[in-house]
Amino acid sequence: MRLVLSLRGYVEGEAEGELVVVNQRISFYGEVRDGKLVDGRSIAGKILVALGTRGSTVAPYILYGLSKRGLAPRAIIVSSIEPMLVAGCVLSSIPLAGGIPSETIRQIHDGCRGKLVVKPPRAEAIIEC
Amino acid sequence: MYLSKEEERILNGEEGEAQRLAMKLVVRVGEALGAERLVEISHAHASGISYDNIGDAGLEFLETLARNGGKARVFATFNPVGMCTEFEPPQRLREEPGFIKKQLRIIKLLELMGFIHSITCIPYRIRSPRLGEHLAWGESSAVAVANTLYGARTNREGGPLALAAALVGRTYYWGLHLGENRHPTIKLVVRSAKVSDELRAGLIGYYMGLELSDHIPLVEAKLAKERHVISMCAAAAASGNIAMCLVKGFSPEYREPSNSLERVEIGEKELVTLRESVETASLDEAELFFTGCPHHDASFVNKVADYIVSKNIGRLKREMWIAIPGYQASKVRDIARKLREKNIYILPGTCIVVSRLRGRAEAIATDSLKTAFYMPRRHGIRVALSTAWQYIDKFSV
Repeated sequence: MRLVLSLRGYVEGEAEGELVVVNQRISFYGEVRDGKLVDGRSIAGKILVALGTRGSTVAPYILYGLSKRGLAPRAIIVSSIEPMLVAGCVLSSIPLAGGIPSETIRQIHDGCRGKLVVKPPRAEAIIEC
Repeated sequence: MYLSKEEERILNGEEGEAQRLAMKLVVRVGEALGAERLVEISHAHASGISYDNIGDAGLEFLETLARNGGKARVFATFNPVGMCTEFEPPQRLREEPGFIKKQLRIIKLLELMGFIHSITCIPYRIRSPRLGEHLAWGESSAVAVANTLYGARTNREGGPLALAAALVGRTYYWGLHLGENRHPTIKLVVRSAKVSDELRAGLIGYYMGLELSDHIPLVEAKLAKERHVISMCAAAAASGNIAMCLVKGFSPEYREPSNSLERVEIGEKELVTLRESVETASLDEAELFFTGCPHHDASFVNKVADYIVSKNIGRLKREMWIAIPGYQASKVRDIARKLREKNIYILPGTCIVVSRLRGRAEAIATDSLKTAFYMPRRHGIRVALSTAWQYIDKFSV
């Protein structure tokens, strides 16, 4: 399967790599620790795809701390955007795109490969599974 | 983005390096979101204050802003920290000198930058926001309360953005700052008896967070007190990303909804099922009880003390912890000492969510659904749900 997605770009940059797919909203505070999700999957150096964010507004500091330690995702793609995720990605220079349909998130899975190019306000993602 | 001459001057560094960095962050986030301009704010509230949460990277961020002359241009407050700021803490919350030193440094940096000694997640008790006023608040529960109970306008700002907004006195004009984005998008009808405790209100909020995120719910529930709305907001902003709801009788912007508004109904069955999914320990297993997430006013401490006297309770067999704002500690100094003899601890300026309780308890009880959301995830601690009064009655001797 090869998907070419036209998305909304928020934070500029390019990234290529393996996907980690989370079909729910994530609280970076509490649900991400040392570059891993609570279920043990690593997001370090991966393209994180999630429905969106939730919970604590500490999230930008968590992302910033992860990036300083080399444990941050390489890029983030979400369905719905929250300002605090934008702030975290700006501070940590993580390319960020939004608007991926939730049905698409259900079609893809860990191990798919992705390429993301973000030039706000546009972004393009190519996903191969 | 349109910037006024003054805003451009700040962005060009003419008011100092810290203000420049702060303005750059606010503008970059605003531009990313598509905001057309900035808006002046009257109160900034920063989250991300516990050293356990932000670590050395966060501390360095604060050091950079303070070292470069960062000063709040508007009324500015900040969130609880990772340890009790006054009174002797319970054994499990005692911290080692290295942690204390860094935590105190964070507080000092904020105060150097002009933040007032608040140390609380209920900044609306220090200064009541006004209807329609623009704020830049971090702290997810406080954001939802500001929008819901006060009709003030703030997005769910991340900690660093709220801090930056304090330094420049502005945030980006987007999202909930615009009146057109503050209308209900779904109606939640709760078919149940009167909600008479914060635990039950929290369950409604937890449901909203899980099922109605990205919405502004119009809530039809029999909430009795403001504290119940606060608990509901806090839970909804933890299990989800609710930034605002409209509650009849409490929200100044509440209007009777049109019939076309999509409607969701829940009742006793859904609340019971939800409680079962959240509750991972029994009350018998709970090693202590925690209340005060969001912080209680100091008046709650008096209420507990009165209850203890009225029931002629000698002491509690298991500890009870009550979190209150750091700035209110002096109000309850004497009563806290007396309650300590009853095995009840007052925790000023902290809460267990942002503390370092991981590994220091296996199961706790709480009346806060926000706490119940974070304890298993952040600290690996199982949670029983109980009201404060049920816990006191069960463990009193």
